This record gives sequence, structure tokens and C-alpha cells, in this order.
Amino acid sequence: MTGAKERKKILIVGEVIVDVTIMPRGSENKLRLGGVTHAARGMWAWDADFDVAVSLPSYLEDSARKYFSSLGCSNFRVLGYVNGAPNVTLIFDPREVGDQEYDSLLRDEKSFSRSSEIDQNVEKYSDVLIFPGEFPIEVIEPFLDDSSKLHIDVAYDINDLNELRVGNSKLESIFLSTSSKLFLDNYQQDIEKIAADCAKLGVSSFVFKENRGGARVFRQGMDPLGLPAQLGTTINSVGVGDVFAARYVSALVKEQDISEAGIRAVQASSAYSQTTNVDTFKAYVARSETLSVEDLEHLGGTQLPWQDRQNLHIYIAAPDFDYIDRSHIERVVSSLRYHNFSVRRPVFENGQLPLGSSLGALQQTYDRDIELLNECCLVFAIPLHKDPGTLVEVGIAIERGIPVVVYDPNQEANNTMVVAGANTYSSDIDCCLNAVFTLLSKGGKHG
Amino acid sequence: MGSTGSGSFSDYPGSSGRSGGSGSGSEDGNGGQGDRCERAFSIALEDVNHSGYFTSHNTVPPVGTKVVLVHNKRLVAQTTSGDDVGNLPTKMNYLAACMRGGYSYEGEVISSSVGAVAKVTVDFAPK
Repeated sequence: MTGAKERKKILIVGEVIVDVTIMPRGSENKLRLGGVTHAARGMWAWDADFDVAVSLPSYLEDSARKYFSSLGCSNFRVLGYVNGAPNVTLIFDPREVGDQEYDSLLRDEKSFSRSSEIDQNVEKYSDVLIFPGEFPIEVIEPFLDDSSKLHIDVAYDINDLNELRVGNSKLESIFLSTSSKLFLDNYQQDIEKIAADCAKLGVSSFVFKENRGGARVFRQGMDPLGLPAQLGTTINSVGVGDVFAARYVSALVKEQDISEAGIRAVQASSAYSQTTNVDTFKAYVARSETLSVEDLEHLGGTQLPWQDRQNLHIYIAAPDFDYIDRSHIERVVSSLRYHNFSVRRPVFENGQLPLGSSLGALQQTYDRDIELLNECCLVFAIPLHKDPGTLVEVGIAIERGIPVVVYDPNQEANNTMVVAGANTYSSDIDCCLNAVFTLLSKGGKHG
Repeated sequence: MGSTGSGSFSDYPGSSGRSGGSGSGSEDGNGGQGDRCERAFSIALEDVNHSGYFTSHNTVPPVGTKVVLVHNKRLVAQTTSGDDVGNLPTKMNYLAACMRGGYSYEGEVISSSVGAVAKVTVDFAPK
């Protein structure tokens, strides 16, 4: 048995899942190992020493062992087996423009049976990174001694922070994202309360991952440390948060400070979002590691805290009428609300006038719409069918210096004045969403 | 390419070079554009009003002005005579790592105007 203090190897704990990304008709669906595998890919990418202890269905065991071995994981332990479900997750929005719409097959039939492989004679680890799942966290106790530190990424299957206590082990880091159920059910109106609840558990650092708005690290008695996001073209955001946590913990284990841990974690997770090719991912990580922390700090990024977004009102300029197909508009609205922005829909707020309305009614509605536009800090235009009202609203906003993002899915308004006048014009909703974050972030540039 | 299709786990390290072509419509993990360091791009610069060029000339550089990309805290488009024209948006920050890895970028101004907010757009390509 090896003492914890002699080891710098991290133990990663979680479920092995099969991620299936459902692609549009005409493109092949994408399948890869997910769950704890995302963090393992990260550890491989930055050459960290790691072992894993996993929960998985028995049919996946051989494939997972082989795959993890290819990532340099020499010690693959099975905590237990998932029964009643294949651990297959269907993903319908891999770029997380809105809710990722995970569909875990047979999730209500799922159960866990402990493996007899794990006993008190297993190796002990100084640092354990846990991604909770359908297994009791106490099952990892054999891997811990009194000096072990736990780092827990609370994405799923945790309803209360108190469930995270494991024996006498020190809770070093807790990661929570704005998409986690625990956050959405309990804390989304009160961010400070999570930090306070973590502090009550003795957590050294609480890392709040705010998606495209960056992340913040809360430590007792200190101001939150902001970590701006590095937004690029998102290819697949599944597992990005896991890579963040893995890189952060790897830095702490190497005794790098919290600031460096956070900055390196942002870089690695950004790289993971921009490719599903593991070799390309590794190359991106290697390149970013050649930059110093100071270099990366100076470069800046996008920081837009979750709770601030509620105060940011976004005007939807679109033919938002009940007689047209509003699916593109609804997607935008859903996406902006998912990211906690306040969405203002003039047609919903001020009414939809019937054809042949009096000039007085038209004037009154126009005045109200313009008043609403002036209250907003950004205009998000969706100019379906070259709608003249939408284009007028875009023009007014440009003239008044209100940032304008034009999402033109059908490329109906690919026109000089629209394309060159708007801050961003694209038929890609991911690009438009990034523009919203960048334009509205405190460090965002409007000029 | 990355994992494609659903027949097997294919995204092993080192699989990029030996997995052959991807299926129709599949995505190669890079958005079909290869290594991001090797891409040419057009970009609207930021902070043009506060740039060295604008301050000293009280205008923007004309279309056709040659520029190079410089990493000086931010990523900056600079004329060949050393005047800063504007910063690149932070979405291009990955280029700093590309430059550290040996890539360099040259280009030219493709549009410029002075209004309430000065605007300059440049085309860059790796050298």
C-alpha cells in the first residue's frame, strides 16, 4: 500500500457513458465514450498521471479498459456495475446553444451494484476528482486516507451539497455549472448562498462555471476570482466542464496557485469545445501551455456573470407573428432564456395588429415598440422573410449605437446595410450567441 | 478525424492519420477547416479610435495598407512601420499560442472608415 503523500497521481471517479450526438439528417451521428472519459482525455492531453475508478455497464468494460489504456491510464478500477440501463445518452444540441437536451436511455431503470474488486487494500490517493453519478459516493472510501483531498464536480445526481461528505476527507474544491440541476433547483436566484453553503462544508474553493460567461472562483474571506471565457467556434460542448475540472485539479496537484489553475482550465476547456479530434485537442492544449499566465491574463476574454444577465434586456426584432413559422425565433428566445438573459418580444408585449388597423393604432404600437427598443441593451434580429419591420428596427438600433446581432438562418437579409451595419451577422446561431456574450460582457467591445 | 458514425469507438489517440476519409456530411472535429492556426481570416478590429495610428494621423489607414499581427499583451494589427491600428477581438486569442508556436500572420486593410466610431477590417493569412 502506498501512502497518499508519496503520490501525485490523481484518481478520477465517475461513470463511463456512451455519448451519441444526434446530427441533422444527412450527417452521420457521432458516438464516443463520455462521462468520466472526457476528463481522462484531458489528463492525457496535458500528460498528467492519473488512475480511474468507474461505474459502468458490464458490456462496456472491455472497450473502456482498452480506451483508457490508450490514454495512458494504467490503473482502471471498476467500482461497480450499472444494471438495467445501457448508459447511453442521446445529445440533441451538442453546442449547448440552449439546453443540451440529454436523453439518457432507460434512466429510470438504472441501478448500481458494488464490485467485489474494491477492498481496503487498494491504493490511497492524495487527490480524488469525483463526477457523481448513479453510485453512492461512499464507495470511494477505500481509496482515501486522512490526508486525501476531494474535488467534486456536481453536475448530476446530487440534490443537496451535504450529500458530498465522505468520511473525514477534506472537501477541497466543488465545481458547479449553471446547467446543473442542483444550481437550477436551489441556487439560481442566490449565487452567494452556494458559496456560503460550500464554506460551511469547509470547501477551500467553490468554482462556479457560467458557460459562455466564464467562471468564478469563490474562497472564504476573499473576493471572487473571475476567469473570462475564451469563446471560439463551438463544435461540441459536451464534457467541456469535466475537462475544466480536470485541468484545474491537475494544476492544484502540481502546486500551481488558484489563478493559474483557473486560467489553464479555461484554456483546456475552450480547446475541448472546439474539436472532437483528440489529437487536435492535444495540440491545442500543448500550444496554449506555452503561454504564461501573465500572457493569458493580458489577452482577456468574456466575463458575464449569470445573475447580471437578468438585468440585460434583449430586444427581439423579428416577424414574431402568429401566422408564420416561428421555430427559428422560438429557438433564439429559448437559447437566450437558457442563458438567463431577459428577452423582450415587442409583438408579445405590445400586441400584434391586424391588417387594416387604423393609423392611430399603428402609431401607438410603433411608439411602444420604439420605447421598448430604447430600454434594451442589445437588439437580436431574426429577419425572416425580409420583414420590413425587423429591418427598420435594425436600422434604428444601429443609428442609436445599440449593439445589433443579426441571426439570418435563411440568409434572407444578406444585404450590405445589414451585414456591415450590424455588430454581427451570421446564419450560425452559435456565432450569434457568442456575439451576445461578447458584446454585453464587461470587457466587451462595441466599437 | 474524430469519432464518426456509431459502429465503434474510433477516436483513439493517433487515429487522425490512419482513419481515412469521413462519411458523407460527417464533421472532422475541426469544423472541416483543419488546424485553426493555419486558417486565413477577415476580422473587424476593436479600439480603433484609441490606436496609435488613429491618434497620430487622426484618421484610419487606407484600404490596401499592409499590416502584421503582433502579440503585445493583446493581439494587435500593426502597420509595417509599427503603428497600432487596432486590437483583435478576444475570440481570436488562440492566435497568440499559434504565434508562440512559430506561426506569423500578414495581411492588409480591406475596409476603413471614420464615423462616430472608426472602423477597420483586415484580412490576415499565415505567412
